[in-house]
Amino acid sequence: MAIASVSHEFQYASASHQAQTAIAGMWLFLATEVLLFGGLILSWIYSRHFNPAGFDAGAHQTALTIGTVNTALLITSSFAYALGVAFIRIGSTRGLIRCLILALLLAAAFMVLKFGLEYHDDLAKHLFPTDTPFGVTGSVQGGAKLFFIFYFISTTLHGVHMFVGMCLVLWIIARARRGDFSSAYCTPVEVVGLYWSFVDIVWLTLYPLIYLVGRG
Amino acid sequence: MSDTAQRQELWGGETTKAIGNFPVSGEPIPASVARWLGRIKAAAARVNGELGLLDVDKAERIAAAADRVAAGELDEQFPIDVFQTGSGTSSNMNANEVIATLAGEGVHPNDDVNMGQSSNDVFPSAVHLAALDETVNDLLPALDGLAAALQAKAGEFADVVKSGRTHWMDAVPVTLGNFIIPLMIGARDLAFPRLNLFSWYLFNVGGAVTLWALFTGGLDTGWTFYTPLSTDYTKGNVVMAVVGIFIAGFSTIATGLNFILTIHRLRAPGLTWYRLPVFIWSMYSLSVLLVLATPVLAITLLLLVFERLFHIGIFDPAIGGDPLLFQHLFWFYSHPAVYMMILPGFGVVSEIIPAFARKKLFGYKFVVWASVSIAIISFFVWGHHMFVAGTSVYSAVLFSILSYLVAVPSAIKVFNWLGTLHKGYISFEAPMLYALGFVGLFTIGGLTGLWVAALAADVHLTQTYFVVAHFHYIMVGAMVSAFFGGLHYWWPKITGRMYPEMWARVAALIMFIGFNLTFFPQFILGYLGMPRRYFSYDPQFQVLNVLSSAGATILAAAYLLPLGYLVWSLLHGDKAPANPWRATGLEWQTPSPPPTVNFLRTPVVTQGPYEYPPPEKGSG
Repeated sequence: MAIASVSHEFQYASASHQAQTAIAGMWLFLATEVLLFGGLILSWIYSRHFNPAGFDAGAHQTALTIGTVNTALLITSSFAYALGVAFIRIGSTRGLIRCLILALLLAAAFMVLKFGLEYHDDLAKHLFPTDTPFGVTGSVQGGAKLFFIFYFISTTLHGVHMFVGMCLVLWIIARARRGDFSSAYCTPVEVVGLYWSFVDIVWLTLYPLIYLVGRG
Repeated sequence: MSDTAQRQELWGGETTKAIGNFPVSGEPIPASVARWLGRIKAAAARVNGELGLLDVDKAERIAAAADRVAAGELDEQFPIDVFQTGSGTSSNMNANEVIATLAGEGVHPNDDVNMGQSSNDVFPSAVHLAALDETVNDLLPALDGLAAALQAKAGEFADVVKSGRTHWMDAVPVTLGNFIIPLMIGARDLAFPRLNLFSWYLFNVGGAVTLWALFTGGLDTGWTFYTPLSTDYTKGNVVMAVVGIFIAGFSTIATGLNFILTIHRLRAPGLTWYRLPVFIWSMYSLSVLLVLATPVLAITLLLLVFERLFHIGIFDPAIGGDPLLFQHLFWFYSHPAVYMMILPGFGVVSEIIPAFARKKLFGYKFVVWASVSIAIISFFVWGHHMFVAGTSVYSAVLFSILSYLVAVPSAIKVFNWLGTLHKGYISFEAPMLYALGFVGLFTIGGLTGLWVAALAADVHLTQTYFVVAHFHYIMVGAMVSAFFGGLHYWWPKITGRMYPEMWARVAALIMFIGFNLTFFPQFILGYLGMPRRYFSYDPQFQVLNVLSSAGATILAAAYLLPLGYLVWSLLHGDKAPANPWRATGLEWQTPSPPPTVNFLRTPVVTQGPYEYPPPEKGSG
């Protein structure tokens, strides 16, 4: 495979033609992801506009500390991945693998904090929208339930994206260990990197919506 | 009972006064109420006779007259306006007077027929009994009939418009587009062949899951899945159907992405954007719509499933959510989806018409940018599906104006196709017949689109057969014509065989006739007010409905014919040359059928797509 990496598929004129097309393809895919999350965030803001007090009451129940730590973990993970890309561009497969393992560990820490700890606390506080009695009472209860519907759907959807990303990073690590990548050929590393950063950017939009706006 | 008696006015002074004083609506009381008045009067007269309160002979004559009213012989004798104040009292007197006149000499309307019965008792009793009568004898049997018919339908998949729609939306892109796009731009394959195969698998899995949902529980939400019907009330298989559509949606996104990248990155040397065939521009615009609109549907369906599973959600007004939000999100996808279906048609017809008119496409750049602008405008008109949903009047006016805008690029296209035909060397092979049919049907469908885009007219026409006819002219009439046109045009290229020309021409003509016979009467039906989705209809709509059904039969024959002769041609058709139509596109410069890598030598393009030389004298 290491040898085949400089060749290209028959529909392309050259290896760089193929590489650039693959990267453009990932950008276009990310555009569709923007619209997927965009529809969700639009609905979120729309519903918040009609129930501001309820959304604020819901936001006060969220775990700001875990959310902030998780944000730091993800940003660092993206940095580690980007560093890995820089390593393979100068031909260091070892540097790439180490950076990607770090990125993977940081993401795993995120997942544990988010779904092991934070979800556990949320459910213990009866914050799942169908819980009776629900953790928020009074006139703001309906709005708070709406808030937590968005909270659970968006964080789960983001978590699924994280999981897919982690599988892809594992795949890249496995291929790197086989010696598939070099300074001349690292298109898959770059393509997965785009996706990995995108998933972080989604979190950077969710973080203020979940933890910050209602606490203002 | 003689005819003359019917025509005479049997009522007396009280009734005449009521008629003269209250000419409100011209709508008399329902005949069934008059008949029940008769029954009550007959019963009262007999009881009064038995009790000795009324002379037996008189009682018998009154009862006999009242029986005739009850039998419906005298419906015309009850002309009192139903909307006048005190119509109950007046109608009671009306009955008394009519019966007294019929009963003959010596019978007084008040003293003998009425005998102190209060209007407040008689009239409400008649109304209630009439209502009960009609409910038990008319409405309930009709509902039973409806239930039986729905039961029968549940076994079929006739009401699964969405699945059909999703498949149809992808029919041209996935089949013709997939094959033709690389050929037309001189490429050896799509940019991502493995992704292409994967999307084909996904497409079939999604379709299978949706079909499974229909067979194992059915779906009665219609293809729009409006909340709260889809989330709280229906017992249908919503979640599974939605999962199927979700999967098919991924296939759609992957296909669109593949086409966009292919058109951007794999064009032959010299093939600049303004040398691309219009079909490629159409498929490009279509792909942009697929890629941008489908994810919004995906997230909307996800929110819907959450609400369906947990019976609480963001479309639930009980907790401050908004059911209209679903409609906004849904139509933000589904209006562009409508244009996804017609855009390939524009492309196909723009290829066929120059080829069989032996002329350059008139106003190439205008046709190109008309396609692109239709794609862009399609994102800003979704609100016209919600004129009667209770949105604000300002948004409705805005969406109405924006919807008018669609007519501009549509008209540009039609005029440019006509301009291409003008002074052309036209020949009428089957693809051309289909293309011309497309232009005619699209024009009718497009112009009636202006009716339903007009806010005031739409409030009358919405949910009627007019709308049904309108979108079928575009989506079925025009688009199926374009699909068959394209299929015949590229059939020799795809299969390497010629189809039988004579049969194909006959099928094209039958399709045009059958389609118009099916759907044109529906414009009239809808304009006259026949609602869509109703089980039964008023007798005055009978003739037009029969015409429509007859047309559908002809249309079915037209759809089946190609199935027969195209399969035949696979085995027995003449071998196709590389370029049977002497057309200019790159796809005709390689053998039929093309080799695996499409072009043995990559073509180099030096001119625009429709450089048709005029035919030599005596030919063409």
